[in-house]
Amino acid sequence: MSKESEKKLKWNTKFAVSMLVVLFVVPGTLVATWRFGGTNYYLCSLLLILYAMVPFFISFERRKPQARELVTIAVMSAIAVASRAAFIMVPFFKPMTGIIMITGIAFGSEAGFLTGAVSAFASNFIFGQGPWTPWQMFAYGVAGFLAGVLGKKGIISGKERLVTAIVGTITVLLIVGPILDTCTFFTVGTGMSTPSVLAVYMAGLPVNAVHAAATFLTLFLLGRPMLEKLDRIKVKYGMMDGEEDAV
Amino acid sequence: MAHFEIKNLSFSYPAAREKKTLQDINLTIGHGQYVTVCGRSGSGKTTLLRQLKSALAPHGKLTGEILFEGRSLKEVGLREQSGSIGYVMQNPDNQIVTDKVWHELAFGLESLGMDQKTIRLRVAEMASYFGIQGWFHKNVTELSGGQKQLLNLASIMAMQPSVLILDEPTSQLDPIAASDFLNTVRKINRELRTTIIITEHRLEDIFHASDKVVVMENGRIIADDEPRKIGEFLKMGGNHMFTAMPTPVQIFYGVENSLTCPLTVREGGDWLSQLFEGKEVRERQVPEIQEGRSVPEPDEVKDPAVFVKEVWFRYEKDAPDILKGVTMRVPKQSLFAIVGGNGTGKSTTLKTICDICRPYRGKVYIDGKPVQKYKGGELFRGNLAMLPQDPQSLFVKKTVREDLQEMLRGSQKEQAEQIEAIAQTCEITPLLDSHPYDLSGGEQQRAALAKVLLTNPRILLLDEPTKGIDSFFKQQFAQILKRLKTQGVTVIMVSHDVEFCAKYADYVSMFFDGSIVTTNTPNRFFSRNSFYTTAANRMSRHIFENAVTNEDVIELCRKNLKKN
Amino acid sequence: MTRETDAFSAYHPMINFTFFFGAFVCGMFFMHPVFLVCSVVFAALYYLSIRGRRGWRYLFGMVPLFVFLSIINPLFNTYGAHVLFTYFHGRPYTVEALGYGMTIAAMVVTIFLWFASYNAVMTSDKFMYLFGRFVPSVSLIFTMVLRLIPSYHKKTEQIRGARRGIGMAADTGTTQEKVRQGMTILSAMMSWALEGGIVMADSMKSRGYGCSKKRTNYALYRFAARDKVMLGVMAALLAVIAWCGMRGGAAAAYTPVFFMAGNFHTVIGVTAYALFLAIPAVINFTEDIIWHILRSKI
Repeated sequence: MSKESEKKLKWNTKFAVSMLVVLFVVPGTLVATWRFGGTNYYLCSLLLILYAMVPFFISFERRKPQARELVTIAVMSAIAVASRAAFIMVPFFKPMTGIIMITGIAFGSEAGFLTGAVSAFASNFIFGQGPWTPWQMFAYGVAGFLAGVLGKKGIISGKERLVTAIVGTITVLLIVGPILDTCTFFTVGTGMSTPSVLAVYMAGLPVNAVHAAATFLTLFLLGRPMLEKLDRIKVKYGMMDGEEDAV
Repeated sequence: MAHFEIKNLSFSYPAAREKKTLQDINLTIGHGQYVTVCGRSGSGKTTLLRQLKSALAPHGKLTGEILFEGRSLKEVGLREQSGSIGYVMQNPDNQIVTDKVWHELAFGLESLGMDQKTIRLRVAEMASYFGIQGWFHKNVTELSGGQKQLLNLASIMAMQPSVLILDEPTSQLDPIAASDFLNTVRKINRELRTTIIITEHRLEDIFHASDKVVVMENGRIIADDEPRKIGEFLKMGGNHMFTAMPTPVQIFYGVENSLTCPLTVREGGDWLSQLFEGKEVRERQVPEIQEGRSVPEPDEVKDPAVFVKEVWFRYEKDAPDILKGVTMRVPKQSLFAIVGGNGTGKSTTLKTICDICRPYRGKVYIDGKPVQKYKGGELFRGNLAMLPQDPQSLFVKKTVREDLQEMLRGSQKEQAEQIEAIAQTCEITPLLDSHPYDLSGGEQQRAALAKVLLTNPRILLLDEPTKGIDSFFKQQFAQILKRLKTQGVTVIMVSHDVEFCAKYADYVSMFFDGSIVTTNTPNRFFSRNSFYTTAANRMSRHIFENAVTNEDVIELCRKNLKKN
Repeated sequence: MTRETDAFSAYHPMINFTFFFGAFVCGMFFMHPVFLVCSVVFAALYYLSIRGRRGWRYLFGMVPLFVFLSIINPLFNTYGAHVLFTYFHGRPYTVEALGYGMTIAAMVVTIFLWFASYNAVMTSDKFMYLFGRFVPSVSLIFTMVLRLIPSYHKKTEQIRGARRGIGMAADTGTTQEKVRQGMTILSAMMSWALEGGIVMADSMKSRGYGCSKKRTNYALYRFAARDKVMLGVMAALLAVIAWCGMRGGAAAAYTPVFFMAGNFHTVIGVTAYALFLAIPAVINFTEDIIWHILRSKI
């Protein structure tokens, strides 16, 4: 099979799964929650989030990834989780999002998403799972995915370090932070009302600001050297790039 | 039919088209043979070994042929290869894939798609054979280096390979773990008839067990013979690899005689007895004081560079004591070695000297001044510096030059001059623009030393500096240390390398159970020990009184033979 | 004293997971006060049976959370017929809203408590065992990540120590210096990690990863007879609970006035629910008793 048609096929299954989810599963869930759950926003939103993540996992699994792809995602995720340890003397400084976004830029949106989701899940195995786990997986996954998309378009890269850092900041402030706040809202939130929604998002703002600052600094200071390191590994070992094995 | 047959194999990496990494390799390895491949770092050993397994073969231009059990290796499928050709790599840590011991044992079998029942049986077999039951359920992070490497071996043996390839498997292990590991490999070879192809820097433990030793140099095989003949070949050719030979071999060829070459300490002892049979041995001692070594009694040292006084330390309040009243005086401009088993507190002692660990009782004096009195980084500016056990921990930049620059202030020109000077001292001038991770173990060691030396320390702390580097680099390293000593530097070194300490140290201290048991000159120290001593001393102690290095034994032999 | 072994953990991971799944979903669905009390009590009980005396601290920590979440709801929601008091020029603080706040708070506390026990029982390998078969590659990635994180932590410490040993530490510097130092350490750790990753990939390929059509998943767990029985019991109880729930046995409302169901289905539902939630705690206590008897016989 030629590469082109292979790509097409992959795209088709992805598309079919997405359509299935959008047309049937999502409305079904909404109806079911409305019918049985009454005001149970958390369960409903949780299911929607899981649907959003499933296609990524399925298409990754179907592809039968090579050893080095697994290693890439595993190594980058573990770095993202362990990165906090380098900053123990700086309180609240979490470079995780920055590293996930660098992975997205270097290896594309799929690897970015998976690295984000895996990092969040794995870090919860250390700090304890909770109702927030799927939300964190989703939020960090989206950050990695977005970095992959923007990186491919050439908007963010190792060279454009200021732009990259600003994009990272915006991603945290407008996407990652709010998704996590929404989780807080659905978990401990007490009924849908404008003031309560506002209160939760306002309460999350300082945390998100610190998070955004850490992401800015990580991307600004480490973006280029890290991407250079990844390039070096690609060149030296022909590893971790998309090409098939020569063997 | 041979197990492996390599015919006219040449190989070059894509980056270096001119230079062939392997050239005209011809080698036959029979079923059940134990084959040792030796050669200096960069001689092409690893490249050759990797060619024997397609999944690991590096990309590049390959000519010639490799036959596996009579078939071309290319035609043997990856699946069959992964089962029948086992490959153990150097670093115990990085080869482990999963987080649990039991899962790691099963990993290869899972990959081959075996069913639960088969895997369960194989895993049980392996755990029992290798004595892993005790830590079967543990997380891999809880294991020691030796256990990790044993786990790597076991999880490969679980796939029941007919040939086992080991690429410097013990270079990161301490001597006790290393010989345990190599004994297990021998056991596999003897009991299961698994073919073994192994490379090692430390040949003491494997040389005598080999059916065949292959010596490589610049990508060629220069010798391929049984072990007893290899020593002769290297000696006659004046080859540098001779210094890597086991002690008995080196001593044998240092003394003129016509007996058979001994390979082990026992054979070496017998050989010496035979040599002096019926002859009177008049000279039994080497002079204790050798030229270039300062030897006041360590306890009476006046004005020591480092004085550790009754130091007690533990990591946490409720944790057990690591240091229990360590006292030592390190004379200026000496090479002071601390030896002893794992986990006895040697490295912690170094950390208390440079104030990374603060003792809760006792004091450390640097040049007579308590270490805490050195304020604001003064201690590390021109006074003290430490080379960590893993030199890679020091590399933070993408070239060696940038890493060295990180240590310097001042103008471009001054920096360049300083780097030039230090590169010359450490013999790394040609490596300055390489990536630190592209260097070999010994080169990394010297690059890291250069970085450390840029703080102009008067006292240099070394944590196992000879770990994982070959005999050639060790000598080079020792020369650098000698040069530093003449420039006024005091060196304190923690080491497992008994041979190195005997040859180059001024003082040796035995560390045990949190304190120093004894301190002496290497000559007195090792000649008074009967287990914890050099191979040269062990094979000659029934004849000579205090010969601890190869040179000592050779000298005494020559003197006595001349007189007779 | 903390239990060394939680008897419920020794059951098959499927049993563990089914229980927690049921407990989570029910805990989030049922707003009926009696059901809620069941949720909180049994969640706390099981947590204590795992943690022993140390568990009380966490339990007491839940009290302020409960109070806070309860009293805050009426500030945002003003529905309800019974006004407790007014503030801000006539904004009402109602009993119904307070009641609803307590309901939500109880749910949150329940979920937190179940998760606390879940984290002790559902270790990573159990989770991987259950779900790894659906996403084998991703589950292998998790296993690798869990194996790598501790070694990266260790390496980070080594690098920090190595830099201290040459006077390149920033322990007493400004925040800016500390951040820069952190970046240097992180960057160095990453170089090391990537080199190690290459060896890891080689090690996987060398042991046949990807050269077989299907990879199997080895696990130490066996689905024993007692697991079958337990699964049957749980399924039956869950079915009863679901049936009673559908029949309105767990209905409750807070607006405009407070209402809660109290019929035949409520009684059956609550009983089944309590029995279901009691399973792990009962298993733990039974085992204690059995051991006590066995020991006294010796």
